[in-house]
Amino acid sequence: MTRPETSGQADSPLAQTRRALRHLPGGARALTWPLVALVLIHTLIIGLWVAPSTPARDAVGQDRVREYIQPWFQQNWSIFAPNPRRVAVTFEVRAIVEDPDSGNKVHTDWVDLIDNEDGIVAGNPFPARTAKISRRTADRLHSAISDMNTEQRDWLKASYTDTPVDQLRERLADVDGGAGTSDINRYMTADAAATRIATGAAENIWGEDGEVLHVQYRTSTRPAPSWDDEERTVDDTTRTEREYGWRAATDLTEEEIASFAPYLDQGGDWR
Amino acid sequence: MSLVRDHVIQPLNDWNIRGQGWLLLQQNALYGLSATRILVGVAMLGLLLTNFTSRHILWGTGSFWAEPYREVNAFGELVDVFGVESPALFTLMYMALMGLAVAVIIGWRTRATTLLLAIGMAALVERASPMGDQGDNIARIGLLLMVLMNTSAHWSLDADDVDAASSAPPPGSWARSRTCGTPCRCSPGGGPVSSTMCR
Repeated sequence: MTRPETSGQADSPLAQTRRALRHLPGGARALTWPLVALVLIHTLIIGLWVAPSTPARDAVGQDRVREYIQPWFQQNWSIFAPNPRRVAVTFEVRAIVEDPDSGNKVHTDWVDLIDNEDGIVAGNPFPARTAKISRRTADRLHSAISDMNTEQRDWLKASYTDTPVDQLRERLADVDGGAGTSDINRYMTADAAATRIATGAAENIWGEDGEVLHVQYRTSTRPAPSWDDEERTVDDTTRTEREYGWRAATDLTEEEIASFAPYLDQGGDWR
Repeated sequence: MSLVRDHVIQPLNDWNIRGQGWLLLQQNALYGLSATRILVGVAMLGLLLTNFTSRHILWGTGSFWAEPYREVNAFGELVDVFGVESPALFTLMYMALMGLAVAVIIGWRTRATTLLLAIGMAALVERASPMGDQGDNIARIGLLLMVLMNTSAHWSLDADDVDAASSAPPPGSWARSRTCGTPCRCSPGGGPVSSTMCR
């Protein structure tokens, strides 16, 4: 029996396609639609990940979706919609420096590393990512703290200079209510980074005066005024200060200190 | 029965053939993909250039401050690839990554260099993940997907090589048709499969 498309309409595009396909390996043809299905499933999972929580995602299971997405396909709905900053932050550091001759321990003044980072960005269409080191660390601290209750925030103000700072993790977790383990872990990571940034800055700024024993950081937020408010700038809005205790200075090698030094000069004359 | 065959099975079968033809017999969007390759490559090279003078602070020996972030990074051991002690070696690896970006832009060994650039960029920028942004994510995803595509059909060294080779093509050579970078037309019934099949 002759099929219609190979007899009467031998030159129709469909018949030509059919004939050309016969020359392909059978495996390639058999895999076509399964591969298309795979692409669609992948797209569907990405959709579940970026969309707000839905019954569909709950049915699949958020953890299972995360397992597939993280880390290579990690993305966020804001991937095509960058959010302009609405909050200005400060990230100030100071240190206790011991004079090697007299043994006097001196509290230094606070310096705001965000002033440095503002200097990196100002007038520069292609700023390096160093313009975000302290800023993003302050953001992380604030986001980790946001759900903490008063008791937990009081614990942040405790100093950990001799006792390991890891005990702070247990103190925070022992508090009833407030932020949970995930927020506490995020705080501890940001705290470790903040302590290291403070040490790197202190060694370069005050290291010549003696040994940097302890460091401390503090942060603040202030909201940008709305567009309608033409009178005020971000400097006119009220700061919300956040305080944290002293931390033992991080042990850094000479080379680490030296290679961090250019960061503090990138913002120009900010000190 | 013939009603079902003519109005359901037959149209479905026709769509199946058309779909397979579109997917298997031709390559699509070759100009767009080549432009994408160049633009993504330029973006990656630009990122590496703008951060070149800050490379040690962000990702090298001066990036001790990012170590706590690295310890909890989902990429795991990949972030240790650039964690070398010697600043000179780090700079060398950084410049090799810039070389990979250039290779992608000019389309040299495109598939391999695209994959290496995707992995290399992830290994580098994830060393200081809080400094990253959604641009890193979309570039990584884009580069990974580009490995599965023919992005070197135009404006690339790979395409030039194929053009040069095809001036004296070995008849029916699988190797030639496999590396076929130019949009080759598959004329049905025109010669053996190996020389007409495009990839």
